[in-house]
Amino acid sequence: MEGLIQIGGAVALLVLAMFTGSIIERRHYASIRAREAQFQNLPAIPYELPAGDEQPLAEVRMVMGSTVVSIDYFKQFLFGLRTLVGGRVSAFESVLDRGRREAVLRMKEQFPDADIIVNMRLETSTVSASTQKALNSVEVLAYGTALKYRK
Amino acid sequence: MILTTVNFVPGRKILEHYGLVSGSTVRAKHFGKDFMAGLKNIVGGELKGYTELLNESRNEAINRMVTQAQSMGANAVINIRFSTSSVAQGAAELYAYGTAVRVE
Amino acid sequence: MIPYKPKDMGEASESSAAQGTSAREFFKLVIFVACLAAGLYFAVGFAVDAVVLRLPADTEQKLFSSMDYDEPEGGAKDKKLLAELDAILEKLLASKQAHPLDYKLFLIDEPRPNAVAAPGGGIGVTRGLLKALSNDEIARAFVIGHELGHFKHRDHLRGMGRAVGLQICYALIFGQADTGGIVGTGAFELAGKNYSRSQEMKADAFGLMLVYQTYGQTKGADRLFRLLEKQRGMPGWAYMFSTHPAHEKRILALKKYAEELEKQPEQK
Repeated sequence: MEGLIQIGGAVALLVLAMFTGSIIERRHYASIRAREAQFQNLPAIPYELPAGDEQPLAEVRMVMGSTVVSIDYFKQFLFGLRTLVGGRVSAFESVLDRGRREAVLRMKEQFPDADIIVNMRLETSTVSASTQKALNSVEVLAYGTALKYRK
Repeated sequence: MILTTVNFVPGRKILEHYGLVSGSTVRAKHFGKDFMAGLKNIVGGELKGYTELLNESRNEAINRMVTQAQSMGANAVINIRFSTSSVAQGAAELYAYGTAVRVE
Repeated sequence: MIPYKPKDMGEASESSAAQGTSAREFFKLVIFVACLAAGLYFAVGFAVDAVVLRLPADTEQKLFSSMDYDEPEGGAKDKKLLAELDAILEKLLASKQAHPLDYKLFLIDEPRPNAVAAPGGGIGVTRGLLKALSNDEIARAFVIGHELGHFKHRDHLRGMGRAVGLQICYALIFGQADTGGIVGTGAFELAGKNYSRSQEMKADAFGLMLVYQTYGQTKGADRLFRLLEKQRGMPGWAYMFSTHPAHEKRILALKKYAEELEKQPEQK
């Protein structure tokens, strides 16, 4: 009987996490896509500016953006099952993808008038002391050098 | 598709760039392989199962990056960087990013 | 600086993130893991049965000699109760049908009626059961016979072996995992209960046979279940999760078996 109640509780939590998680993800993606379209004219690239390539500049500034993303219970459960089988963990991919795009957008928001961000680097690190097997939070950091040319 | 880790494509002139392209994948290892790796850890040496798995995943990440570059009409990706992070116990994220460009 | 030309990459911008496939993936994984668990369960079951059924009685006795079953605390009343049970056990063992172990009866201080077969030959009877069956020798004999049936079929070792084997597998697969833990152990537990239901029926049959051979009659054996049924009043849906099969079903099976026994000529 107790086992049954436990299983029932876990299933209820899973279903709840699945719905809320997918709603949050859909909204986040909608916002990311809208903002990405807005920043279409401000590219951020890992290109390293070679010496002697300088155009007349109005401003140079280091920019960075970061975000910590967490994983809902449903995706953690999915991952738990996935570790038995191995293979692509699509549940985590979308979360990391969202985090990375969010970090890049925040970096761009620091200097929206720039013409280009060069030497951009991306870094991912697990921030929570993970006593549990599943991922709980990951920090994504994007940083680079924003250039504004003299017109 | 030409892939380089430097700022240019040697011997070619870059005409224009299309911004950042990236590809990533998260892979979980299989508990059977994990078990074998645990045994292998005792004696040391290369964990072939893991090497294979990570290589395969990195290729997948590159493929995804290339797909993005192709869809914009680029014919080269320069400045490619990789980053591998262990996002959870038993899972690693392989990430590749670069600048999509068109060369002559 | 290279000139920049903004371009839309369309679908490819989502190439690193599969969306909307979670539910399907979930079902696929659940089915796969369920199959894996079932396979493991049966594999462990077969392995344990193969070992346990070949285990000689004296080896078992030695293995579990360290098991110490509590003597009842307290009064002469308990001692008297146990002495009565011991006498019944002696009678049942006289036919030499039981598994040759050194049996030892002990009293469990628990109001719910129940009895257990413990490794090494311990037979535990709860106070609640003794109370329910006071002054009913045949019914008590049937309870002890039923537990002897479990020993005969090595159910006590099979259950334990399975639990241990599955726990080892579980630890190997999950490590000290949390995810799947609840579901995993829950499913194993349920399967374990389901498994022992057919064993209960077999133990019933063995107990009834012993009673018939010892006392020459079987009337009264089914009284146990009628009593239990009255006391517990378990709702129908709970049968699935109970170790003991529905009482009605067992009474019917017992009656049928008793008729068969009585039809057959006496056998020694």
